[in-house]
Amino acid sequence: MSRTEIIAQIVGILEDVAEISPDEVTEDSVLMDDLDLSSMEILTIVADLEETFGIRIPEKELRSFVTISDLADYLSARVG
Amino acid sequence: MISTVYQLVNNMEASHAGKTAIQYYDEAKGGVVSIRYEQYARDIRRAAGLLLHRDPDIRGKKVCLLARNGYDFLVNMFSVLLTGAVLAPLNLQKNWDEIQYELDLVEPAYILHDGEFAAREPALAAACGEKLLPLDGYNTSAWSDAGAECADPDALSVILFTSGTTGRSKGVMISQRNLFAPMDFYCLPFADIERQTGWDTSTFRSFSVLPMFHVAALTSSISWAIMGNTVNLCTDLKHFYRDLAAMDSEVMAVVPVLLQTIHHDVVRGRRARLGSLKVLTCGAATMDAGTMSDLIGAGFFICQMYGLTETVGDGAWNNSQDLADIHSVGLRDPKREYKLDEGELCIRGDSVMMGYYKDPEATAEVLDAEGWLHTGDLARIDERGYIFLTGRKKNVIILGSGENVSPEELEAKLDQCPAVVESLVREEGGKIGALVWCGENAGEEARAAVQAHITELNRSLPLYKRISALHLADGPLPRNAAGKLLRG
Repeated sequence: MSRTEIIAQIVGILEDVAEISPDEVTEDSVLMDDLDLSSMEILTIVADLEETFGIRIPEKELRSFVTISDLADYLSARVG
Repeated sequence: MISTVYQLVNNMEASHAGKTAIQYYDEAKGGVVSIRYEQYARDIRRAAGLLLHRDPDIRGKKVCLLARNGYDFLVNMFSVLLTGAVLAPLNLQKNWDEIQYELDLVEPAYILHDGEFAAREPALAAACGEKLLPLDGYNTSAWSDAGAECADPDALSVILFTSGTTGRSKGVMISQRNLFAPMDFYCLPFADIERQTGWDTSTFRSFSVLPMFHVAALTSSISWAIMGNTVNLCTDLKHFYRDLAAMDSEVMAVVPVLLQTIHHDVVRGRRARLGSLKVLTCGAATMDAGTMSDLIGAGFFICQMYGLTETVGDGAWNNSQDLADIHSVGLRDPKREYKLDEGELCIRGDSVMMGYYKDPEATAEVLDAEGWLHTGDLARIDERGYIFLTGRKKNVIILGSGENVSPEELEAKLDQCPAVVESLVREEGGKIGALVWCGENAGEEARAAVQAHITELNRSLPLYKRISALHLADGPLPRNAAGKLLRG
């Protein structure tokens, strides 16, 4: 899966979980700040990503996901 | 009045048989499983029967429980108590070093487990292989046991581990008398909520995300079973919204991060995803008053609870929805005695623990000869009986001027700054300094934001409480396994 496709998946999940319009999301968007996600929403998004990509994301990784780009980098490395 | 586990299980059948006791989302089935009280009692008796079949002399022996949250955890928890064995639930999140320390202390005859810890830490099976018993063994067991009435309500029944702020955890010894003493205090507030709101609390369902090795989960699983209401288990916070949607609930016990989540949903106009949720019982840490008052304004009923593992969670309950009382942890349990000793809140009565397991020195530090438990919390009690916590005795900063400052109070204010992930306030040469962690990749911008926040904060504080030094930490602040800040 290409990086562009991965980001499209992330954007889709963000819209689904937190009702964030795809127009508002860029690679540099900060999850807790720009996108105003709660920690529970981030956990929910991670659960959806696990299901979408068929992987398990260890909890210790969550701390490093600051921006959309961080998430995309991680997923590219795992499934790209 | 129900005062033992034996009576509790009998009452599940006698008074609540057909009502739904427990629900949970079953991943394999892709749907919700509902357990009625009659089945709950039957499963507890089967698990007890299996234990007694293995060891007819299990009474008084220690049995550890090391497993994920779930229905099997609850069944085994009650079954151990029903056999007269001593229950010692352990925290699955701890590492082997910490678990080994606790196992060495407890010296259990058996360890009921679900395999998760053993898969992560092979040392468990190597050290205790012959003591390990599967948590789900009762499902295929042919034995069942009705149990017997608790022979001695003052005998040791539960050991709960509590985090010391420094050093190793301590085992809080609880008898069945201790365990059941505060149950009225946990059940009666719902009648008061009904009076205040007109809501029918008899049909309330509780959404539970609490870790089951913790005192709050133990006591609430008893109090909700006494009331005959439904507990909906969310066994993984990742599935919080899925589970809440699948198992509509009115009540949830929350810690600050969960309260923030709910607040976030409400102010973002996403209340609908919370379903019927409308009563939040807040505990474990100081909640932000602004967050609570917003939620009261949005139609939620906010309860605040204060208690310790050492009092089986007993202490104070605040049902007042008056914003003037929002900084109070609430009113006293009328069945307990309270006093202030040099500002420190002390509690005496049946909910006070027997002591720390195999640790008479630590016991003597908190439990005096007259039976008063010294909570370590500084408090004031107003003329109406409302208790206000003003700080922790052990963490209090005493300045050169003789003024006392609570670091937690300032940390809560610092944590309101969006740039701050977490903070630690301490004394630095007679002044107050703050160590702040702003997350990875935080640079000068974060420092400037925190400094600006402190400048504004200081304007609102009396001189002696002002923060005069700021340091950025280069990593998350050290915490113990229970998540409490280590204050070196």
